[in-house]
Amino acid sequence: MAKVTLSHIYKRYGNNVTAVDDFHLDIHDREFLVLVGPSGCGKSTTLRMIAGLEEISEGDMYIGDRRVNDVAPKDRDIAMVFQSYALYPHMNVYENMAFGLKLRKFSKSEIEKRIQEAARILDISHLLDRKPKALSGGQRQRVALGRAIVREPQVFLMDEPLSNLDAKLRVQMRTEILKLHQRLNTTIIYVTHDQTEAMTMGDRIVVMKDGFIQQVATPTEIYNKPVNLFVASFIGSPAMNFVKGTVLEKDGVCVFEAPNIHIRFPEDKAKLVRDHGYVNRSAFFGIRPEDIYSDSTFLEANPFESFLNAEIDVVENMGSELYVYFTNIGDAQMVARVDSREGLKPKMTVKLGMDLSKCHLFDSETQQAVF
Amino acid sequence: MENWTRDVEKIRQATGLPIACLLTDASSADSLEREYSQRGWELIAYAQNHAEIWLVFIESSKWDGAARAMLNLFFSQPEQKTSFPEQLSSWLRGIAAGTPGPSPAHMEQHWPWLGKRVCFLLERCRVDSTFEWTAMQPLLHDFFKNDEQKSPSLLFIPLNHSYLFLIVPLSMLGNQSDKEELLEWASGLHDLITTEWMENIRMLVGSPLSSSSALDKELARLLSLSQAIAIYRPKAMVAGSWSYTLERWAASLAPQDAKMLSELICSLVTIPQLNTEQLETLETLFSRQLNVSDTARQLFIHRNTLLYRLDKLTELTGLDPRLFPDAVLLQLFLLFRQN
Repeated sequence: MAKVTLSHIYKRYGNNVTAVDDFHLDIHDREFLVLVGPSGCGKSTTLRMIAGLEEISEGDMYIGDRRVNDVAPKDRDIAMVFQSYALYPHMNVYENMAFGLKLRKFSKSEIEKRIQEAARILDISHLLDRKPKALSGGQRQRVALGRAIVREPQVFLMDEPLSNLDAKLRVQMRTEILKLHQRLNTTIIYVTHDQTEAMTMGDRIVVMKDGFIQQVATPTEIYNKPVNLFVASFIGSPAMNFVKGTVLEKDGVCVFEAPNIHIRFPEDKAKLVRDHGYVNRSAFFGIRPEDIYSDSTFLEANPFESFLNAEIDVVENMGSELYVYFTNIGDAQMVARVDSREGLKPKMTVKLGMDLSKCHLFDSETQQAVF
Repeated sequence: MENWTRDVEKIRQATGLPIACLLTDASSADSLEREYSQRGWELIAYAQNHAEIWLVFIESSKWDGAARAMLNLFFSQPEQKTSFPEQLSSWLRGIAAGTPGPSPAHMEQHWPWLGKRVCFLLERCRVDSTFEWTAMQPLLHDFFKNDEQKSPSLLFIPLNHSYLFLIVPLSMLGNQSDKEELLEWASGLHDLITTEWMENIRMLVGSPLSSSSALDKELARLLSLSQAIAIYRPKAMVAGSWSYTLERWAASLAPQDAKMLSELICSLVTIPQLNTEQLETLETLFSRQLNVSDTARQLFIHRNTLLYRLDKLTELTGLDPRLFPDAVLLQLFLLFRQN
């Protein structure tokens, strides 16, 4: 178990390409940290630099108190689980897990103890005699995890370890890895492009784009207080709704206006708008789908909220809820996430209310959050 | 070396001690050495000129220290006889360096193969990594459970800083010889090195060979595959010598021909930027021989979802990837655009 420190890390390829740009972060001891972002954002490169599989172009890397820039990858006391894992085909599950320990000259009794413990944690005790060919995809993934666990490294690195599994198994293994973290109580750095995995697994999430860290925070904070338009759009499914318009002050009231939309900010938000000098400036208004309501209970209970009349374009029935898409709001399509019992259907015109205590505003040029 | 016969005769007449100079060929040299050794003679000088080999023997018990010192005046710098593994390594290194020489003489006699063997080419992907290939030898011997005493049969030949060549008896791979099984072995080896050695290695595997005489062609095939992958599939870390034929063909083109072809294809089709999901869909469809059901299974999506994605791609590109001629054009377009 150890903390990992990345101090102003850069990764450059040639003179023109910077894959990771000034990555600066302390990863706490026993933390489950998730690096998330779209393809090419630099998350895997960062992980591979921690592992030593990629050279660091600039900056310092520490595992515990030891600077590891020049430490050979195999001497860094880390274990890595990759997206595409392969087991040793001529060895059974027990031998697959024991091989690394034998290389490190562990005693037979220690090997036996560690394998039995890892097998118990991963629920593969009954598979120890089987060859890889006789295992399912999920079982193989567990063995690959087991091989890493038995080494008891200071840090686990996981590079999209669930990507090669089908959707059902992915959800199951997600829980298993979380349980594993709780039992092992060790530092895990986990890379994924899947924001659901990031939200459900991480103690903290690092959102990356184009080699830069966009935001580092807990899942709740990332979701509720995204620092910019990219983070707000990347995290959450369906994604946050955005409408481009202008912030105006009319008769002492602060409003956001766009075609077909007139939103009156509540006083606390209006104060922020004025304090940041956003009156008479263009901006993006953002609201999450679950903060748009169509039920009469909400509309009656919140008479001062902003309302829209919108025509339903498409309804996606998710069982417990509906994703309702509207098209005649500003230039954008908006989506609301509502109770499936509301019985909404395409072509209906409905009155929508927004919970403006949860709305967001972003600068239209810098795309940074105002609130 | 022609003088050795005359010199040896003079020494024999001057000293009266048993000494012999023999001219032979590569195939008989070893047996001759064994024969003389059994009779108490020892080899003191060895030289090779093409197929001809000169050997100078003395009867060990008759030559004392002073007399032996005198021999050094005549044979002061005898050429060292290179062992067969050294000759083999040198030959293979020559192929990797692009300067192929003749294969070791009578290779099949020196190195009879009782069964088929499989070649693996390991390529170092980090040019700045400094580890020596030889440091990896114990790990690989442990992995293959190769006991040097019982069966010195796994051959480990560092070709240069970038490449290591492994020749492994098929029996060590559980006689698994189909392509999927060989790729599993290659993947296992790749995983071994990335997880236990933490080095970034590309692992290429060949088809089983029946004779050592095919080694040069196999190594050349694996090297050309490595070069093609480095250009066109840099993320592919495990591959078989039978795969990536299109990439190998493209890599074999002269740069000006590749450029011309690339421009020609781009003038034939106009394809907007495809996203990761679309590229993955196409790559998987091509790798699954345009089999839609198989592709859907591989991508973990419903067949109808795949059909929808393919319809969208057809709409976007004007080419239907389910049709062979369109698929060829799309594949060529993607291949050259990636370069």
